Amino acid sequence: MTDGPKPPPLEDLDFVALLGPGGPSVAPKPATPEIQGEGLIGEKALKAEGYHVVLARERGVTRAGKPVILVVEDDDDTAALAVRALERGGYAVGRAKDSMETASYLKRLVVPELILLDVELPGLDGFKMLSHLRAHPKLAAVPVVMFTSRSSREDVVRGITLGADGYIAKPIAPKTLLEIVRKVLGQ
Amino acid sequence: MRAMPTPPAIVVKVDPEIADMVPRFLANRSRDVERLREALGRADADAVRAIGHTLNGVGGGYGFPAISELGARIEEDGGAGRIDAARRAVDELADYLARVQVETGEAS
Repeated sequence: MTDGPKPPPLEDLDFVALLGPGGPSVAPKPATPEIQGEGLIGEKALKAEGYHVVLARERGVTRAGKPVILVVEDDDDTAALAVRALERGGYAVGRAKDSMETASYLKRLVVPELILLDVELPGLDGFKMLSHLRAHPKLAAVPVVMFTSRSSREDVVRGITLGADGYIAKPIAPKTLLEIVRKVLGQ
Repeated sequence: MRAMPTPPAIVVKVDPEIADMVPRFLANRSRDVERLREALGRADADAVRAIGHTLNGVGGGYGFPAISELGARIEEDGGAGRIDAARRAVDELADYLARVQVETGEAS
């Protein structure tokens, strides 16, 4: 493992801002040298599942000029709620149910402006997907907001340490979700 | 013979912007009760935990925090292998779903 910038001490993270009523928060993105070199998004894990992964090539704005957000969520009702909120907020929204669909989306369509990522997913979980996203040369800078009922201190630390830009505890109101997404995107 | 009194309805006001999505949401929760009872019947605590996790995550977003609270109990009991406790929470969820009435408007 090569030396690189060290992540901030965990005790410096502002958990109140992350989990409290203030909700939206953009955390510093620490380097994660231990996951460098894993290659493309989910390359190892997805290849083990027999999937060929290629680089995405475009950047996330539709022809109509709407920023694209990818919602990675296996529960249909949760995804529908997020899609409704984001579309009404002026975003174009893609949806994937798991790592395979995420890879397929990124291969065929566009690199999104932001990824809303559930943690408990079938197959590769959200934390592992986040690691792969951060190791991908063309996806490393895409903001990722974790979106999950798993909101223990340990889960939040893990998400932020892996490079998440925000961590939203479910359940969450559609309006609040939209506010958080806008904040992370600097809008 | 005197008829049993009808349990009072539970009135929930939902956001007008998502009111059209609520009937499907509630129908899916009734299906969750069926899936939970099937899982309880075969003592599949992990399946109970997983369904509870989903309920926990989705209820409040649609304006039904009670579903999230019951989901959290089901998730915790399932995770701890407490099948009987999980069954009681599932019964409470079924009772809630039978009594809930939806109105559109600002959440109370």
